[in-house]
Order: sequence, then C-alpha cells, then structure tokens
Amino acid sequence: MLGWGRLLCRAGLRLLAGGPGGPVEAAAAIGNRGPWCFIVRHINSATWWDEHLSEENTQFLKQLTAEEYRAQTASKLCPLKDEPWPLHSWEPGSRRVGLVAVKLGMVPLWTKNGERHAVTLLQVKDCHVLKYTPKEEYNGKTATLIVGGKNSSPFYKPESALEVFREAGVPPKQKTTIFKVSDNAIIKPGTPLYAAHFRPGQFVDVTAKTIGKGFQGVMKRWGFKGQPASHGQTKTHRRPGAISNTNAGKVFRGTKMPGKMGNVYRTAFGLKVWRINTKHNIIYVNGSVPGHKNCLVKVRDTNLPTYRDCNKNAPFPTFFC
Amino acid sequence: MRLSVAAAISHGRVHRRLGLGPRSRLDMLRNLVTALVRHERIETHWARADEMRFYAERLIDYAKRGDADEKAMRMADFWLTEKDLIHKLFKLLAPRFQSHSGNYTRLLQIPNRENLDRAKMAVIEYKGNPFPPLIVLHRDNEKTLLNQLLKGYREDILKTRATQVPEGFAASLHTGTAV
Amino acid sequence: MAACGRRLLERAGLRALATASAGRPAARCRCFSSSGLLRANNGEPAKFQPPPKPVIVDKHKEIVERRFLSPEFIPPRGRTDPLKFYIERTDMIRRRKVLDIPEFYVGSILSVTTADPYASEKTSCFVGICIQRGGKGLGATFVLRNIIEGQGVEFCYELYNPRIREIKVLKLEKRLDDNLMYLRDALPEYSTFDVNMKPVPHLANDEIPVNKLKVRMKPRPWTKRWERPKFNIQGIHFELSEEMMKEAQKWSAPWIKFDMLREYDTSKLEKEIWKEVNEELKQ
Repeated sequence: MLGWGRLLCRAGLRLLAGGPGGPVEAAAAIGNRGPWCFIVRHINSATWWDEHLSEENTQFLKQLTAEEYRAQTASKLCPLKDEPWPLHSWEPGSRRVGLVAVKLGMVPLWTKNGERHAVTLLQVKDCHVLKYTPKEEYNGKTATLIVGGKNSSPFYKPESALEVFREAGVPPKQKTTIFKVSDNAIIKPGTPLYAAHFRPGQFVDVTAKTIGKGFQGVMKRWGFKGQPASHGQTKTHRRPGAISNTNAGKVFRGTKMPGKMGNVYRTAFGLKVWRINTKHNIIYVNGSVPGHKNCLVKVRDTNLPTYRDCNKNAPFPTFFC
Repeated sequence: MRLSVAAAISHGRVHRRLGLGPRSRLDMLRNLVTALVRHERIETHWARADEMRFYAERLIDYAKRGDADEKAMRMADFWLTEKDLIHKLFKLLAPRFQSHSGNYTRLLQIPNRENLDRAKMAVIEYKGNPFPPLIVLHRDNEKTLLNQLLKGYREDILKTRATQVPEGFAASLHTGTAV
Repeated sequence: MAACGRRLLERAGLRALATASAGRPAARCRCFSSSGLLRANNGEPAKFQPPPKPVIVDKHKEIVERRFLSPEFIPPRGRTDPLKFYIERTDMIRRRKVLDIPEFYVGSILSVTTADPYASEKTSCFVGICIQRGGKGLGATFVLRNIIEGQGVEFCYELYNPRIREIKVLKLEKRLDDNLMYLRDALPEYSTFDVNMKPVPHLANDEIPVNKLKVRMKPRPWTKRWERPKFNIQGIHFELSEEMMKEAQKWSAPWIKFDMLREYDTSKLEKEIWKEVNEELKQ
C-alpha cells in the first residue's frame, strides 16, 4: 500500500519535473545597491526537493519514508523466515562476502597474559546485501554481491540511484561495495549482515580511503631523508636531490616526486579480530586501519596464505540471526 | 565548533587563520561582532562571516545569563569595542532571543566582489531584525497537481488510520513498551 | 615478604583505627552546626537531646556529599561517535568492579602494586607523588614520581591495565597546579617520599585539602621555561630577577580567555556520565 502510494507520487513528480524545475532565486532590493541575487544550491538532478512541495507535504513525506524504512528494516531482520537461498557448506577455496563498517576509533585492549594491543573499533551499521550478479554477467569468472552500509536519506539522491535499493527492499545506503564471492557463498539480496559474520581469532583485510594530506614534498610523501639543516647547506634541506643520471638522460616514469598525498584507497592486510560485540555490532580489529574517524570501510576475510587456515570455522555463508 | 567536510580532515584545527596572528584575528572578529550588534545586518567576506558567526551566537548565549553575571559582562566588554552597545546587547538582543536556543544568526552568500578581487562575499544578520527580509521563500502554492495529489493521499492515510484506531493504538503502545 | 606483610597489616590496622577515631570529631562538628544550636535553645527546659542527633547527621551528610567523577570518563572534544565512549565506559566499569580505583588527584601520594613476572615476589610496589594524569577512556594514565637512593624515578601507569593489582591513596590532597611536571626541575627534597609511608586518614565527605606548598627550583636551564604564562604555574617559588620575569610576560596572551571557541563546557555531560557510572557501579 505504502509503496504503491509512493510510486504514484513519483509518477506525478516526473510529469511535473519539466515545469518549475529551475533554480530558486530570490531578489530583494536593499539601499541603492540594486537587486541582490542569492545563490541557492541547485543540482541538475531530479530529487524530491525540486518539486516545491508545500510545508505539510514535506513533513508528511519525511515521516512516511521514515516509517517505511523502519518497517523495511524490521521485516528483513530474519531472512530465514522467507525462504533463503539454498545454503551450502564450506569447502577449500570458498570466498565469503564481506561487510561495510564505520570506523569508530582506537582503544587499548589487554589479553589474558597482560599484553597490550591497540585495536580499532569498527561498527557494522545497517549492512545489507543489495544485489547478486552471476558470473556470466560479471566477468565470466566470479559471481559478485553488492553490499551497502549506513542508511541515508533518499531525498538527495536521484531516482536512478535508488533503484537498486528498492529492488532489494532496503533503505538507501551511504556506501555500496562489490565483493567477489564463490558460487556456494551467495546470499539472497536484502539479507542483513552482522558483526557476528566474523569470529574472534580470524584475520581480515580492511579497505578504506586514506586521509587526504594535500600536496606534499618527498620527505613526507616518500620518506626521503632530505639534507642536513646546517654545515653550509644553501636552500637545500627538504629537496629530493638527483632524480636521474646522465646516461639515461631522462626522468623515468614512476620516479618518486612531490605531489598529492592520501585520499586513495588502501588496504590493511591480515589484521586479527580480537573481539566481537554482538549487541552493538562492533568488531575489534588489531592495529590501525586506513581512513579517518567515522569513515566507511570494507572488511573481508583475508586471502593471505599464512592466515587462510584461521578462517575455516567462520559462519558460512554468513551469520543468520 | 564548526562541523563540515573540510573540518573533518583538518586534524583538529577548527578555525581559520585570519589577519596577522591570533591576536589580530580576534581583534578583527571583535570589530565585526561590534558592527553586527550595531547594525544587525552586515556584509563581509564569507570566510570572515562564517568565522564570526560562532562568536556572535555565543555572545548572545552569554547575554542571556543577564547583566548581573560577571563573566557575561566581561565577555560583552571585550567583544563590543563600542561600549554603548553593551546596553543594547543585554536589554534588546537578549530578550529577543530568550525563547530561542541557538541559531540566532542567518548567513547568506551573495555574488563575489566584482570591483576588487572577486572574493566570496556574504551577508550575516541577527534574526528578528527590523529590516525587510533578505530571502522570500516562495514555495509553490497548494494548488499544484502534485501537492493536491499528495494532500489527497495524506488524508486517505489519516482516514484509514483513524478507522483502525484500536489496532494501531495498541501496536504503537506495544512498540513503545518494547523500545 | 614477611616484613611486607607485617607492614601491610600494620597499615590496615592503622587505617581502621584512623577511621574509628575520625568518626568522633566529625560527630562533634555536626553538634556545633547551627541547626543543633537552635534546637538547644528551643529545648532549654529538657536538656536531654541525644535522639535527634542521627537525623541531623544524615541530613548533613546528604548536603555535603561530594560527587567525584574520574576525569578519564569525560570524553574529549571532537567528532567521535558517542557510542565509542559508551563502549569504552562499559569496559572501564567492568574493570572498576574488579579493582577498586580510588579517588585521587595530581599531588596525591599513591602506592601502586603491579604484577611483575620478573620480580621475586611476582609483584612490585611503588610509592610516589602523582605528577600528571593523562589520556581519556580506557587508555588513561597517571605518572608517579619519587626519588630513590638519590635517583629520580618516574612510573607511568595505565589506570585500566589488568597488571595493576592495587592502588592505594596514602595521602589525599591537591596542589596548586594540575600538572606537577616541574618537580623534575625542582630540588630533590620536594619529590622525595618515604617508601614505607603510613596512610594519612581522610574522611569520605570532607573537602580535599589543598597543599599550598611552593617549591624551590634547581638553577636554570629547566626542561621547560616554567615562568612563562603559558604554564600558569602557582606552585613554584621563582627566584629569578625582575627582568627575567618581565621578559617572560612577553608571551602572555590575555585575550585567549575571551576566545569562546576554546571553551568546552562539560558540566552537563559530567552530570549524565556520573549518574550512569554510579548506577552501573552499584549493581
């Protein structure tokens, strides 16, 4: 019923979108400065707010979508109720799906024998499987699952971006990622994923965008040594020095030079899971993780040969609650 | 404290560097706050206005404590370089914002400065000032097809919910206890 | 080992004695409170008064009760999700239920017993003055300083490290400053404390006494220029020339206290957290 109503509304919106979709401009004359033109943020994509809804309607829509999403999340909590896809057992070479988590920060953790470890807290927040792509459609080698994490507002996203979420029947997500999985580990879209997907003692890889450092010199960016501070140095303290030689007569590609640093995806490999908090869905991962606080990270089983044996006993294909 | 995407990666630096140093920065902001209290609507660089907005709002918070409060008085004495404005702050602005809790100013961007350096400019004002409003929100009227359709849908839902009162009420009660 | 045990026993006995003796003067004090006097004036004919006393004592206690929240419970300013601090708090409370971490301040004298696999008795004990408290949440630390056989010794302990067996406050007091790192540059007698010190009794609801001691420093240079207004140190008796003190004032920034961006008002937060922690600890 709700979904049908929203569809109708959307149809109406699309009909009208051609009309009053221009930027909102307001002009007011003050003193003798002539008319002032206020720039109001205008994106050329069709979102709900381009339609000049009245005050009550706006409130109504917000309330309605919130209710709808809450109902959606509640109905998805137990996917075993509405026939999950057939479950297979683990066999060597299987790849499970991963999670999207929020990085909360770091705390110390002490083991039973009194050793101290610094761990990172990763919270699994509203993580759902969104879409399954069979291997024929992807690249002919592996099947993939799209996973999304952390609910976000639908009102600032274009219609085309919301389609995936509507098909899966989950609220729109802030971050979506693709996981390559083996054929026996596929999960039905709409299944929620929890922190219990991992077990303490397992090893994981964590991928995220590193903190942007801007344009940096070679000492910070590549760890060059620089030159001494004194002893007759003239204007040479943090410079790279020679970048090539006379025989080559050119600068080779990939030479380490100053430039933009950070803000790229990096992966920390083989981090041990120390502890899992199933109530708040928190994973305690050994050491540091790329990215700033509150950034969304991708967590998956590590494929490093050293740790492959530790990952055998994890719940397969995922933890159903 | 300002919370924005730019600030999120600023490694704890929460304010801009303005003027010739920390002293000069505060002096400049002081003059701007004084001007804002006097005129209630001023035009400056966007960065300066954004920086000063925090101080202008906190000053009102202090003023709300009343003129008997010693710290509030010392703050007002520092931030208003023209001393006749202290009276205005405590007697006019503080009562005006008594019912509000924060968000006392409005910041709007205006076109970049043309004649000099194309700096990003802004207007900042205290809300509830006597000047004509800067921005006229003209939402389209109720009579558009879309608004009417939504209105009809809204009323439908309300009506259906009203008929199912006992169930809905019980359900809401149930969820309330569960939460 | 046996000597240590005897010492401990002695200490425990002393403490019991101290608390017993401390009970009496306090009661006398409460007798002198205004309400007690009034009652005495009204009830002059009947001089018999003992029964109402306990009631008055209770009221007095309620009013005076001091709320203490360990500083590491207050989250630092920033954009971290409050959930993280909540999670940390639950762990901290779990630890506090096992180990009694007493109330102490910078300037208090503590004795800390830690598990040490390399020590002969598997535990090691250190007595010293707390010169700094640092860190927030689970990573909170405190630094103890003492001078042992003419050599300055400092230990940085983690408050929630499970290796810590016991924290005992020998003397509960505050100093004029919140950070006593300048004791490194002070004459050694100011950071010398008896290893076998006996605990000084302190009443649960009394005000924390402030030790207004002003220390004398070694000749300069120091590790930091303590005379600079940045440190705002009250507890040093500076023996510098007038000129030097004037020179140091060049770095004063009197406008900084008017910068409202620097203010971090935690009173509300503190109250909430105190309530939460207290409820949890009582369970």
